[in-house]
Amino acid sequence: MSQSQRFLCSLEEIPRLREFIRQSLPALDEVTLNQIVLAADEVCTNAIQHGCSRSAHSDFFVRIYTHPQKITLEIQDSSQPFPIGNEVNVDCTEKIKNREKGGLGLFLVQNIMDEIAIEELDKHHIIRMCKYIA
Amino acid sequence: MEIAQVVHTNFTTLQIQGELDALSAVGADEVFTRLIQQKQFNLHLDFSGLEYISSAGIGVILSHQDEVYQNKGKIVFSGLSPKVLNVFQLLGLHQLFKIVSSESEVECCFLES
Repeated sequence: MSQSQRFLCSLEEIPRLREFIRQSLPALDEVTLNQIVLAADEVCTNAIQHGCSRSAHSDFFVRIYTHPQKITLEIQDSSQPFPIGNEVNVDCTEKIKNREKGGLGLFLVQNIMDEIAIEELDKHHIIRMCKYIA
Repeated sequence: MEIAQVVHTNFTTLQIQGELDALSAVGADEVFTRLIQQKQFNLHLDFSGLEYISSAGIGVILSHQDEVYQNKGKIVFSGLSPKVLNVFQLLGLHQLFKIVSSESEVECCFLES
């Protein structure tokens, strides 16, 4: 089963995105549900902040597939693809020392989701992320 | 997201309610910046009303921690729900920050300073 929705490339859409994910997911424990919502938030926020809102196609498309053993999220947008497939390590002690605000989102996504892939198409790309829940 | 501020003798409590994401992080950053400009370096973050936090919200807190520390202050957290605590654990922050479960523990943390 799948559900999908289109969102404008604006941070003001992120609360609506989170609500869409929450409503689309099956009954899960509170922590797992929050993790999947957070992963979607981080990827879409990154897309909005790194080009999606400056492109001619200023929206992005989210589809969620629910399966008894796994949840798959597909996020399609036309921003510059970011290196989500590459391993990212984060040292929060260094971030504190350097007074940095950013750079945590992709690390969170990689720690939450079990599989992440990027499909490059003509003028856009699809990030496909899967989490096993059984 | 809403932030209420309560000033105590040794510290200031920020009661953060709602969802702290990339959109609301801007407002949270302004509150932190203002408090630090006012030289309030002992901060208690009451998360009992916080329903959601993303990396942008956490980034705001991390970016002010060093200045707090350099001024011999500290940041103490309380009221984390299991899902918010899990986000801290994913980032290893539960080992870097003081997280307590009761109001009396909060006061003790600042009596030590």
